[in-house]
Amino acid sequence: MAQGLISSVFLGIEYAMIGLGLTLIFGVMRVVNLAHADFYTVGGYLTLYFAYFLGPMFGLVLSIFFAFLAGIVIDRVGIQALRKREDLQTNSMVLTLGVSLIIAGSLFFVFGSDYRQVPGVFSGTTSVIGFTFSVQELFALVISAALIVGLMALLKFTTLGLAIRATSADSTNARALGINVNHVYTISFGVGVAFAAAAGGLFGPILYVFPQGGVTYLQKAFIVTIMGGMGSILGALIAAFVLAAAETFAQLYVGGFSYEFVGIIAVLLILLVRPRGFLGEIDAE
Amino acid sequence: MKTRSLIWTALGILLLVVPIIRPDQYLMTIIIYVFVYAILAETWDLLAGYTGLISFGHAAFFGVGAYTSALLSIDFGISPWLGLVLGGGTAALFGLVVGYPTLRLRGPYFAIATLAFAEAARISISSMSDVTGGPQGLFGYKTFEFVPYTLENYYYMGMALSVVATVILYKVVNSKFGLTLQSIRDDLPLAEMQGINTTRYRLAAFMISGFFAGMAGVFFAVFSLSITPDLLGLSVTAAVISMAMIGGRRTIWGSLFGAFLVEIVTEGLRRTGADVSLMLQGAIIALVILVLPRGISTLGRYISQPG
Amino acid sequence: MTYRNKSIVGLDPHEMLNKGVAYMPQGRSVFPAMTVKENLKVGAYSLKDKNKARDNLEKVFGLFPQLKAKQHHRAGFLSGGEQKMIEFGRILMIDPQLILLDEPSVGLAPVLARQTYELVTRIREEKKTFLIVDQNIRGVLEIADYGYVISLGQVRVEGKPEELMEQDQLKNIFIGGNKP
Repeated sequence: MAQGLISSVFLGIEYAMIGLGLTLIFGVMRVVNLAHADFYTVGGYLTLYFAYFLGPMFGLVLSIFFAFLAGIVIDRVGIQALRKREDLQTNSMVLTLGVSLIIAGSLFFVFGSDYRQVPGVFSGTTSVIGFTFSVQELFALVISAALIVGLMALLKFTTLGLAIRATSADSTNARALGINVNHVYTISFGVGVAFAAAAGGLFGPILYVFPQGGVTYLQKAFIVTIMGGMGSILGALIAAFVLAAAETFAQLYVGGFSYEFVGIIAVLLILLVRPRGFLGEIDAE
Repeated sequence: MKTRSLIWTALGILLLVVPIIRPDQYLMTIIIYVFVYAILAETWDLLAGYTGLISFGHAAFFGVGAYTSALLSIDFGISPWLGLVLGGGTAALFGLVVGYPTLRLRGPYFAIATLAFAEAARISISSMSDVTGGPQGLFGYKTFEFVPYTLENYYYMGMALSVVATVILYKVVNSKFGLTLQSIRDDLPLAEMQGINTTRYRLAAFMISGFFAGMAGVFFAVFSLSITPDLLGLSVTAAVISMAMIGGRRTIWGSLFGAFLVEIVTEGLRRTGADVSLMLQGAIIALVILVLPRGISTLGRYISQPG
Repeated sequence: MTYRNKSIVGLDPHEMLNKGVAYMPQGRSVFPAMTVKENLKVGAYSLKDKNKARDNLEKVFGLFPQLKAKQHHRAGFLSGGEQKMIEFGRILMIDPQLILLDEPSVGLAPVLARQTYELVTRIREEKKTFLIVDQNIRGVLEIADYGYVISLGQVRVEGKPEELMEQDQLKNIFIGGNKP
C-alpha cells in the first residue's frame, strides 16, 4: 500500500510534467500537439548527447533550452500559418503528426533504434523513512515539482502569465487590449514542449528512451489533459496523480494489462458524456 | 477526360506486366504493399475528404479485419476467402460501434476519440494473450486456397482487390449517396433541415470505410503470414494519412497515387541503407498541410489548366 | 480615417493604444476566471511605464471604490454592473484620450444599458473623449455632445443632440424611413 502510494507520486509527477505542457498548449492555442511526447524523447536523447561533452547537469539544461527553441521554430514556421485557415485544431493535429514522425525519424537516424539509458545527474541510492530510492529519482521529483510550481507562479504573478491567461480566455479581447497574441502562442508552445523535454531528461535516466518511445507518453499526456478539463493547469495536475494512482493500484490489485485501460476508458467516458468538450481556460491556482 | 482514361489504361497495363518482367522480389513486395495501402488511404479519404470526419484511428479497421480472419482460421479453420468478407464485416461493425458515439463530437474531439478507440482496441488485443497471442501476435493461419502462395499470384490478387475497392469507392462517392455525404460535410444543419438523416448517412460511410479497410487487413495478414497488434497503432494511421494527404483529400485516385509515391520513395530510401522513411513521411505530411492543403491533385489541375 | 491628423486605418490594437486610443468590444468582455485586479492589470499591458500603471490602477480604484473593495474576487462572480465597471476601468488603465465604444448597449438588459451610459457620463468627467457607435439613438443622444446619424454607410444628419432630436429627418429615420 505504502509502496503503491510512493510509486503513484513518482509516476504522477512524470505524467504531470508531460500533461501540463500539452494542457498549456491546448488551453492557450487550441492546438492539439501530436508531437508532444516526442519532445519527451528529444529531451532524453539531447541530454544523453550533450552529457558527453558537458556532463549530465548542463546536458539537461541545454536539452530543455533546445526543445524550447525548437518549439518556437515549429510555431513560427508551421502552426502560425495554419492559424490563418479554418479548422485549426484538426489541421494542427495533422501538422504535428508530421512533426512527430520527423522527430522520431531523425532520432532513429542519428541514434539507432536501441533502447538507451540517459546518464543521470546523480547515481546511487538513498533511504528515506525506511524506503530506498535512487538519488536521481528524488532529484527528478524535486526538480519537476520546482518547475511545476514555477510555471504556476509565472501564470499567477507575472505580466506574461497574465497575457497568457487573457489570451487563453478570449484571444480577440486580449488582442484589443494590446496583447501580442501570436507572441503568447509562440511562447506557450515553446514552454509546453520544454516541459515534455525536461521530463525526458529527468526521467530518461530511470526509464530509458528509444526513438518511438513517445507514443506511450502521448497517450498519458492526452488522458491527463482531457481528465483535467482540457486547459486547466490545476485540473491536469490533479488528473496526473489520479491517473498514476489508478494505474498503480490497478496493476497491484487487478494485474494484467488492466492498468493500461484505466485512462483510456476514463477519456472515452469523458469525451462521450461531454461531446462538445471542455472549453478549458488556463487558470492560475 | 480522354487523356485521363488513357493514363489509367497505361497505368493498368504497366501494373499488369510488372510481374512478367520479373523484377526483383523486393519491388514486387513493395507494390503489393502499395495495393493494400491504397485501399486504406482511399477509405480514410471517404471519411476525411467526403464526409468531413478526420479519423486518427483508421489503423483499427485494418487490424480488426486482419485479426478476425486470422483468428477464424486458427480457431475454426475458416477459409481466408470467407475471412475477407467476415473480416471486412467485423471491421464495418467496429466502425458502427466507434461511429455511433463519436459522431456527435466536433473537430479534435472526434479525432481524439477515434484515436482513443483505436488504442483501446490495440491494447485489448495486446492484453488478451490467450486468444490473440498478445504482443507477439499471430502466425500459422491459412493462406488463400486455390491460389498458391507465390509473389506473382498475390501481386495479381492484391491488384484485383485494390481495383475493385477503388472502383466501388469511386462509384460510391459519385453516387447520390456520396453527394449527400458531401452536402452533410459542407453544411450539417442545412442537410438536417432538408430532412436527411445525417447520422445514418455518416454511419454508413463509417461502415463502408471500415469494410474495405478491414478487407485490406485480411489480405495483408495472409500475405505477410504473421500479424502483431502494431497493425492497429498510430504509425499505420500516420502512414495512411500521409498517403491520402499527399494525393489530395477528396480524390479517390489521389489516394492511390499518394500510396505509390510514399511507399516507393520511403522503401526505396530504406534500401539505400539510410532509413529516413519516418522522417520523409513526416516531412510529406507537414509540407502538404502547410503548402498544398489539397494535395498533389491541385498541382495536377495547375498543370492541366494553366492560369 | 484619421486621428490627430494621422491615419489610423489598419493599425494594430497596441499601436492604437500607444496613440491613446482604446477600444471596448461589444458584449461582455471581462476575463471571468481572473480576479478584478488582474483584469485591470491586463488593461495596462501595453503600458511600458510600470509606475504609471500603478498610478492608473489607483486612479481607477479611486473612481470605482467598489472595485477596490472586491479587487481579489473573481470577476465572473461580480454583478453585471460591476463587470461593466471592470471593463471601463480596464480601458482607463492606459489613461487614453479617446475611447471607442462599439454598441455598448447591445444585448444588455435595459437596467445594465442605463448603468453603462451612466458610467460613460462619469468617466467623461475625467476629461476623456468617447466615440460611441450605437443603435440606441435616444439613449446615446442623452449623454452625447455631438451626433452623427449614419444610415447605409453615409452621414445623413449631424449636430448637437437637441437639434438632432428636433430634426424631421431623424424622426423619419426613427420611424423607419431610412429605406432608400
